[in-house]
Amino acid sequence: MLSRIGESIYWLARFLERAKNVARFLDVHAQLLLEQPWGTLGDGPANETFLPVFSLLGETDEFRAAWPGRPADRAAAVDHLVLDLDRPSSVRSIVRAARENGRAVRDRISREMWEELNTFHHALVGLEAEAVREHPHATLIDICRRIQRIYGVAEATLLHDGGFLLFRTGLFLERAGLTARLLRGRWFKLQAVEFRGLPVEPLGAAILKSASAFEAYRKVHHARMEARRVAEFLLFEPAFPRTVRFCLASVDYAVRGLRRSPPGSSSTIAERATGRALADLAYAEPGRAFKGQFGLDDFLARVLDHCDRIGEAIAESHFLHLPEEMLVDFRSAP
Amino acid sequence: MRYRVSHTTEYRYDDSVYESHNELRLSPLATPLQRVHRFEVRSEPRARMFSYHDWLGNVVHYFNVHPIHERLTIRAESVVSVSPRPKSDVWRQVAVGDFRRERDRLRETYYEFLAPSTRVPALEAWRDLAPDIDAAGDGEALYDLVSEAFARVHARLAYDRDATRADTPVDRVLALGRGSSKDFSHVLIGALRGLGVPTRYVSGYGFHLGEPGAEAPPGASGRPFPFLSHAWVEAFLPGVGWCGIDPTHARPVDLRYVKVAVGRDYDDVVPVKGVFRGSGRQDLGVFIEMWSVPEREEVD
Amino acid sequence: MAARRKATGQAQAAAGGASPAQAAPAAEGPEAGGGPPAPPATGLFDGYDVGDFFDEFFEAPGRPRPHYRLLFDVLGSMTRDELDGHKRAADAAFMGAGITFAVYGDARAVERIFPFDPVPRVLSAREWETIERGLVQRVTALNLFLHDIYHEQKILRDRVIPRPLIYGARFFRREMLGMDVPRGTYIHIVGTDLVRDRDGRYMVLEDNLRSPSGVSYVLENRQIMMQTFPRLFAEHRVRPVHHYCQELLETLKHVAPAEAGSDPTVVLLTPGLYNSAYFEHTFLAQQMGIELVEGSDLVVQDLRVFMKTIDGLKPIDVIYRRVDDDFIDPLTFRPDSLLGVPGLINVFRAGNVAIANAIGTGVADDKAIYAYVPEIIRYYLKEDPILEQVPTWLCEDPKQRQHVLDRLPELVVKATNESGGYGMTIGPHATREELEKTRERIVADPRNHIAQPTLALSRHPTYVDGTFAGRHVDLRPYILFGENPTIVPGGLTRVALRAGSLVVNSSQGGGSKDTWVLAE
Repeated sequence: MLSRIGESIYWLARFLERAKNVARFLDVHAQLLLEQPWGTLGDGPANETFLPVFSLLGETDEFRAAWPGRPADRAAAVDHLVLDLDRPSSVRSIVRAARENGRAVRDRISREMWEELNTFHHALVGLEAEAVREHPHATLIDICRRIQRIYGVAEATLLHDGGFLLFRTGLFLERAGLTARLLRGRWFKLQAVEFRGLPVEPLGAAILKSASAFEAYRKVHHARMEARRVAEFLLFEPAFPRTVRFCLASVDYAVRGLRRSPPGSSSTIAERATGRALADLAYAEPGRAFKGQFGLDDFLARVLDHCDRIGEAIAESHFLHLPEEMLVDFRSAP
Repeated sequence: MRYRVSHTTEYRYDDSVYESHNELRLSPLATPLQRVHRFEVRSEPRARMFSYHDWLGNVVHYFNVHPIHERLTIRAESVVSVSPRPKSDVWRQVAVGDFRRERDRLRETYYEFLAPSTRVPALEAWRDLAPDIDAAGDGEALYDLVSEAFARVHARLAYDRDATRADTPVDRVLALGRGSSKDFSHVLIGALRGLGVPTRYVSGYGFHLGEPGAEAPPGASGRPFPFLSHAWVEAFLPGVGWCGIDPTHARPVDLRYVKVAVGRDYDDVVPVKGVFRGSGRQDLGVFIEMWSVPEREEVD
Repeated sequence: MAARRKATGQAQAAAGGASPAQAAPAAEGPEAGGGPPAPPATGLFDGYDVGDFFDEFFEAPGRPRPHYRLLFDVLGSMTRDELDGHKRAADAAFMGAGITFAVYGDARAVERIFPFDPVPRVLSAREWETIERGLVQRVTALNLFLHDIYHEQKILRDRVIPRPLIYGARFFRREMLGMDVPRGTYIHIVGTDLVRDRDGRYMVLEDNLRSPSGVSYVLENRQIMMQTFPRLFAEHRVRPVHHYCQELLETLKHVAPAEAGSDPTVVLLTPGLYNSAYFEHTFLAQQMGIELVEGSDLVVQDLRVFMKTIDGLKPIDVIYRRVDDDFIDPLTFRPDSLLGVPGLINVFRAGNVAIANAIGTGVADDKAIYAYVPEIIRYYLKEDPILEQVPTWLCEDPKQRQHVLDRLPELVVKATNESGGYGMTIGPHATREELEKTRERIVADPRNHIAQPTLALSRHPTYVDGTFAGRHVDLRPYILFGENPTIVPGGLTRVALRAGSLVVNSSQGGGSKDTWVLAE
C-alpha cells in the first residue's frame, strides 16, 4: 500500500474519532447542565456554562480569539465546536477533512463507505444553524451514530490488510489521546467534588459517558462512585475498548501487524514507540499513577506525550520515507 | 597548451533540503583539437556519479543526494591539452557562392542549429546585426560576412557580467545593450542563423583572456577579464567545419579556450542543474581556477 | 402487409447535399436481388432518415445491412417505453459505478457521465478482419519508424521525410536520440481513430500514441449493456472484450527489464484526481491489480526507481504512464512539473525501468507526420497500406498552404498537436470570424497546421428523444503491442450527439455506444 494512501486512511480514522468525541463531549456536558445546577461545582460565570468543554478540548484561547467578547454559552459552543467551517476544530471542519482524506482514497475504500462519508459531510453542511443552537442533542447524537456506522462499514468492507490496520491505528490512537485529555481536564474538579463531600456522580458519570464507559464502569463497580476508581477504570481497565490501555494496546497490535516482521528482528520506530508506551502503562500499578506532587496530572501528561510520539513514529515508519538522519531516535528518548 | 581547471559549485540553502537530483555538464569535450587527460567530479555530500553522452555529444554526469543537507558542493577537476586551431585563412576560402549552393542541404542537415531555439528566438533585430547575404557577390568570402556580424555584435553590446542573469531573455539583452559572454553568444547566434549559417553555442573556460591593463574588452572599466567560465559560438562553414568564434572579444577562438559543451543555446549546456525537495531557498557560488601546466614528458 | 411508410431519406436533405434517390422499393415479395424480403418498417425506426450519408445500420431506408438484421428485428419491435427503460437502467448503472470524466471549460459541472447510447454498433467479422490487419500493419510500421528516427535515421537520410519536419516536431524528444528501449518497442498502446466516408470506406483519421484513453468506456459499455439489455445478446455471437486488461498487463510485463524476473512490478502513473481521465486510470489499475501512483509516490535513488509504501521503498520495473513527456521528469523536461519523478529518464536510459508508451512517441501522432504514414508503411514493410487515410495538406509547404488558404470554408483545419477535438476548425460550420482567426493562425505558424477535406462521416441510428435518429460516429480500436499485437474486438464507437455535429469527443458533446464484432 502506498504511503500516501495509508496516511490518508490513517487520518480519515483520526478525524472521524475526533469528530465523534467532540460531539459526545458537548452532548454529555449539555445533559449534565440540565441535571446539575450551575454554580454548585464552583464553576465560573453563569453565562459561560460551556467553558469546561472548551478547556477540555484545549480550545479556550481559540474561542476567545475567534469570538471576542462572546460568552462561552451553548450557542457559542455549537457555533465554534460544531458549525464553524472557518476554523479546524469544529465538527463540520473535522468531518470535511475526513472526507477530503476519504476522497483521496476513494477507489480504495468501498463505495458504501465513501457514500456514507460523503452524505454525512453534506448533511452537516446542510444543518440549520439556529435549530442546532437551540436543540443540539439530536444533531450531536446523530453525528455519533453516523460515525459509528462508518466504522462498521469500514470493518466490513476495507480489506483486512494494511489499510484496515492503519484505520484502526488512527482510530485508537486518537481515542487514547482524547480519553486521556478528558480525564486530565476533569480530574481536578472530580477530586474537588469528592473532597468536599459532594456526590461524585453526576460529574463522574458525565466523564464516563463522555467516553461511552458509564455502563461498563457500573458493571465492574457496583458500589458508590469514587473519583479514583473512575480514573483507574478509564486508564487501565484492560477489557473495555475505550480505556487508554486498551486503545494503546490496540495501536501496538495494529502497528505490529503492519510490519509483520518475525520476532527477534529489528522493529520499526513505531513499534518501539508503542512498546514504550505500553511498558509505562502496563507496569504502572494503578497506585503509582496517582503518586507525586501532581499525581495523576503528571501521569496523564506523560500518556499524552506518548501519544504524540507514537503519532510521529507512525509517520516516520510508514509515511515519510525521510533519510536516516531526520528520524527521531527513540533509543535515547527518556 | 595544457591546462588544469578546478570548477567548484556550491549551493547553500537557508533550510534543510533533501532528495536532490542533479545533472552536470562540466567535463571538457574530447575533440580532434582537445585532449582530456583527466576528469574527476565529486560531490559533498558524497554520491555515486553516473554518466552518459547526450544527443549533442556532451558528457553528462548525474547523481542524487538523499540525506538532508544545507550545502551541496560539486568539485570538478580536469587536465586538458589544447592544440592550435587552423588559421582563419582557411575559413576565408569558403565563398558565398559555395555557401548559397549548400544552403538547402545545410538547412536539412543542421536544422537544429538554424531553427529558432528557446533562448534564441526569431527576432527582427537579427537583420540589423548581420550583413545582407543576398547583396553579397558569389566570390566574396563567407567569413567576411561572419566577421562583419561579430564585429556588429561586439559593437552593439558592452561586456558586463553582472548586467543579466542566467534566465534573462535575449531581447532584454539587446534593449540593455550589455551582457555576459552568454548574451554575446546568443546574440551572435541569432545574427548568424539569420544569415543561414548553422551556429551553435559553446560553453567552456577562457584562460586569462584579459591581463590586467591589457586586452580589456571595450566597455569594461579597464579591469582584467576576470571570469574564467566563458561562452562563445561555433559557426559551420561548408567544406571547413565548425569554426570557433568569440563574440565577446570579436575574434576567433585560440589556444586559450577549453571547450566543455555545445548546444543550440545556453539551455542545452547548463553546467549544473537540479531539483530538490525541501523549502530551502538556494544561494549559488561558483569558483573556478585555471592554471596553465607544463607539458609533461611522459606519454599519456 | 402493412403499407410501407414513405421512403425515408428524402425529406431532410443534409446541408449542402441533395438527397439521393434512395427510395426503398415497397417490398411485397422477394426482392429482385434474391435476398430475404425486407421486413416491414416497424416501431421506432419509422421515419428514420438515412440522409445523404453512409449509414452503418441501413443499406437503404428500411433495409438493414445483413449483420444488423437481427438487431433491427429486436429494436424495431420495442416501444418507446421499453427503450426508455433500458436507457434509464444503463444511465443509472453508469452513475452508480461513478464512471465520469471531467470537462475542461465547463464551470459548473466538474464530473460528468459520458453519455451512452443503447443502440450498439455492429461490425461484421469480415470487415473487422481487414481493419485488424490494417491496424497491425500500421502500428508495426510506426514502431519501426520511431526506432529509426531515434537511431540511424535511415528514412531521413533517404529523404522520404524532410528532416526539419521531424526535428521541428513539437514532441520530437532529442533526449531519446540513441537511447535504447526495451524490445525496441516505443508504442505499446495505441488508439487509432477510424471513420467511414460516404462510400463506406474505412479511413484512418489519426493515431493516438501518447496516452490514448477511452478503453474503460469500451469495457464498461459492454458490461452495462450485458446487464441492462441482455436480450440483445441472445441471438448474436459477439466477441468478448473483457480480456483487454489482462492483455494490457501482459503487454506491460513483457517489456520489463530482464533483471525484474518472472513477476515484475508494474504501476500506473497518473497525474491525479483532477485529470479528466482519472476514472479510467483507477479503473485500469484496479482491473489489472496494479498500484495506481502519482509522481510524488515515486522516488529515484541512484539509477533505480521505487515507490513509497508503508513497508518501505519498493522497486518498480514497468511504468504505464498517463502523464505527458513534458511533465514526467522535472530534471529532464519541464522543471516546474509537480506531476513527475525527478531523475526518471536517467533510470529509463540505464534500462532499469520500462516506460509504456516510451518517451518521444508524440512525434508519430503529430498530424503533419500522419500525412507521411503511407510512405512510412511502404518504406519499412515494403507493403501498400491496407487502411486508407484522409488526404492531408501540410501548411508547412508553401504551395499546399496556399491551396488551403484559398479554400478555408470547405476544409477542416487542425493544429498538429492538439487532441480532444480542440484546435480544429470545420470550414463549412465556421463563422467568418472563426475562419479569419484560422487564417491568421496558419500564417503565423504554418508548420503546426494541416487541413483535410470535410468528410461525410457515416451515421448510425442513435436513440434521441424517444426515437432513432442518425448521428455521426467514428471508431477507435485499441491496439496492444506486446509479444504479439493484440486488438480488442471493436473498440470505442463515439457518437456526436448533436444533430449535424461532427465532433465526437467526450469533452465536446459526444457520447458512446457499445461496439460489437460478430464472431463468424
